[in-house]
Amino acid sequence: MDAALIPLLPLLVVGGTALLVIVLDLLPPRDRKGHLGVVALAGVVMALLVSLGLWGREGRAFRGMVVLDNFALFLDVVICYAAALVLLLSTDYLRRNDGERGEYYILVLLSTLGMVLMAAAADLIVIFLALELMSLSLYVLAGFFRGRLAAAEASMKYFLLGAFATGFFIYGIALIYGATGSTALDRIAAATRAGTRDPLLLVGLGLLLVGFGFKISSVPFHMWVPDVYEGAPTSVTAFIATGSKAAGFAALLRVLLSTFKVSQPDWTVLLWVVAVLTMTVGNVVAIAQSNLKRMLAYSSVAHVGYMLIGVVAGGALGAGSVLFYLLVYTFTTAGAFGVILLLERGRREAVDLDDYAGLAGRHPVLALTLALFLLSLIGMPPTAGFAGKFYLFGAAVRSGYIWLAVIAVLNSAVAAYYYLRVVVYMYMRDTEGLPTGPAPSFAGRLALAIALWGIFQLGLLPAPVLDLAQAAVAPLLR
Amino acid sequence: MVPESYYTALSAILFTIGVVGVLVRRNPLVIFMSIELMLNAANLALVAFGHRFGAADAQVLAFFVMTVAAAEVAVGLAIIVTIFRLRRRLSVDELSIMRW
Amino acid sequence: MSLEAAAFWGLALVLLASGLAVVLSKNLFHSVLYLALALVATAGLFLLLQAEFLAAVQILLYAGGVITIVVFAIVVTERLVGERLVQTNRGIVNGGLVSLAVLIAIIIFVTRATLPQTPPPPPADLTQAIGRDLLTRFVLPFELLAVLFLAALLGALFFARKEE
Repeated sequence: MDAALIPLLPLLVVGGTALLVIVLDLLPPRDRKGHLGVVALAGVVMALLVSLGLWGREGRAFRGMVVLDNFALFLDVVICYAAALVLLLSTDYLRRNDGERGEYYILVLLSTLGMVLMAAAADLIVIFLALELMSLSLYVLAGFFRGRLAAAEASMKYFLLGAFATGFFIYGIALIYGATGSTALDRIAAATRAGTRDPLLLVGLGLLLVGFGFKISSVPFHMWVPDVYEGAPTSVTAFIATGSKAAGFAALLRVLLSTFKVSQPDWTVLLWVVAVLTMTVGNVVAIAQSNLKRMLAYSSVAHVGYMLIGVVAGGALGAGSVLFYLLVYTFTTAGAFGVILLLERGRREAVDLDDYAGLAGRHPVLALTLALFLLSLIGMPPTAGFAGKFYLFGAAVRSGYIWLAVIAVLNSAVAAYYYLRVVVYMYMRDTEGLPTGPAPSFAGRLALAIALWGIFQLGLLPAPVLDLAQAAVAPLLR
Repeated sequence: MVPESYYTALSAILFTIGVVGVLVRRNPLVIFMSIELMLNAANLALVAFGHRFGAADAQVLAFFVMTVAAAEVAVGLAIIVTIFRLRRRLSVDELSIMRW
Repeated sequence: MSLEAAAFWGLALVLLASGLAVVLSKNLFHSVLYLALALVATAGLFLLLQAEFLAAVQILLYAGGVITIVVFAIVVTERLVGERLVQTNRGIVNGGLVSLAVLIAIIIFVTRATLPQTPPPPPADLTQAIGRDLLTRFVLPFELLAVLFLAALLGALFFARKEE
């Protein structure tokens, strides 16, 4: 194989699988599309293995537009895990909702392609196009249950606010181009090192951060999150919450740490404030939610706040713990949404807190699984959530952001209330005569098992993965 | 000769008009048109900067932005039309069943 | 005042007026016509900046394609809802304040920006340079556009297709 194509290998695997699924979609059988899910899953797993196999290699392709480094590979692994879990959860869910269509798998693969490319992009224009590829596919997926008004509204809202964010993003790119004469990240970095704090560059970076803020859903750009998470099909919600966030953080970290290193004092102050606002708003509003999907939506906003702490703390430990947390968060959140998805009865989603009353009696295994995921979201040892938060807050303390760590710990205490409320409902309330749902499919159980393995593997033996995460951010900090 | 900064200032005003449109209007189609204004403003800024640098790459970037905008139009308007179709069938009077 | 300056000020006036009209017009159909005008005025500005290729693309793709689809969407939604879509506003004060802040910030920074004082001469044939760049330096983004269009095509068709 041409050596120049090696940096693109994970991309080619995902993209090739997408094309294969498009062709297979045209062939019979017309009414059942489950086999396409298997093909898509095989492609994603293949990409995962390829990424692991490439670990340690470095390279550039297409005149430096795409880079291969450990950072991109680590994020590839996170994104592929997210996509694989979502695909495992999807097939049976789609069938139960009369939404089994080939387009679903194609769009999941194309958005995965966009995410993987975002992690590897080294030019603002590639980041922009990859972001658009990911977003356009997700807009459609959010409205995939076409007959439901809530899904269509979610899709429209996601689209309009996403396109709005794109406007900021592209204007930011225009201003940065105006200040430096280039969109290549290394050339921008060289121009910024030259010295003067060009106001044009700072405004450009600010607009870029607005665009990223929408994608990773940080306050004050989080207003789309609850409605979209609630209205979209639950499997798509899980993908938006995990994969698109990982991709957003990937591009954000690469741009901030490697390109705008010089402006670090400026963006650190800004992100300090954003981090505090994001976790506080997310947690406080989550308390008031009685709909589980909305509650998890606000909780995901809060978790973005925690991850921003690592960005503020900076350095190998800070940035490395963000990557570590992204992996933890992917397993935990995909798992939690997975349980919600599997509990669905008929066309009615089990999203109200009352649906979970006495769940331990009706579905003991699922109830225990959900409880474990919620404990990981709280950050209880020995789950991965504890290790992730420990590293993030520790990095903040070591970098001298004591107050940030204190606020984060207080926030975690507040968050424990609304997560534990669900556990209390499941274990302490009586069943109110609700029917038991269908038994989860094999693929669904497999997805939950993988997610559970993830949170315990990372919770009990976090150090090796943290080392890998720190090695992954090393290329950015050089 | 008109300095490029006039063009960039013009694009900044146009961008702001677009932002105002998104923030104050309710109709999804108008919000969408306002977003088009924002992208258009970005293109104007790109071309003005490119003129100053005497390079072709700014125009290539603007070309990419235009094509992406076209792709967005196709998807976005399909979504909007779907909503209107559903709303008629379900005869929902209020503009949004979810909080905006 | 030179011819170029006159053309700039004329086009700038048309652009801003039609941009405002897009946002302020109560009639949806008028909005889209003003949008078309704004896009054509932008194409004129591209011509002033010696970007002939972009001006042509702008007219063909934007003013031609995009506007047509928007008009189509308006016609379809009006027919479906069965009444004229009247626009309503919300949060004008908030929106105005936010926007004013954005505007002031951008204008201050943009006009103060330090650009090279004397522009280097542009390539002899800019359109040729664009074509060459698209297939050499920017070949990856160019190919990526194809994938993006594939996703957009699939998505739009998915929504447009009749329920089976």
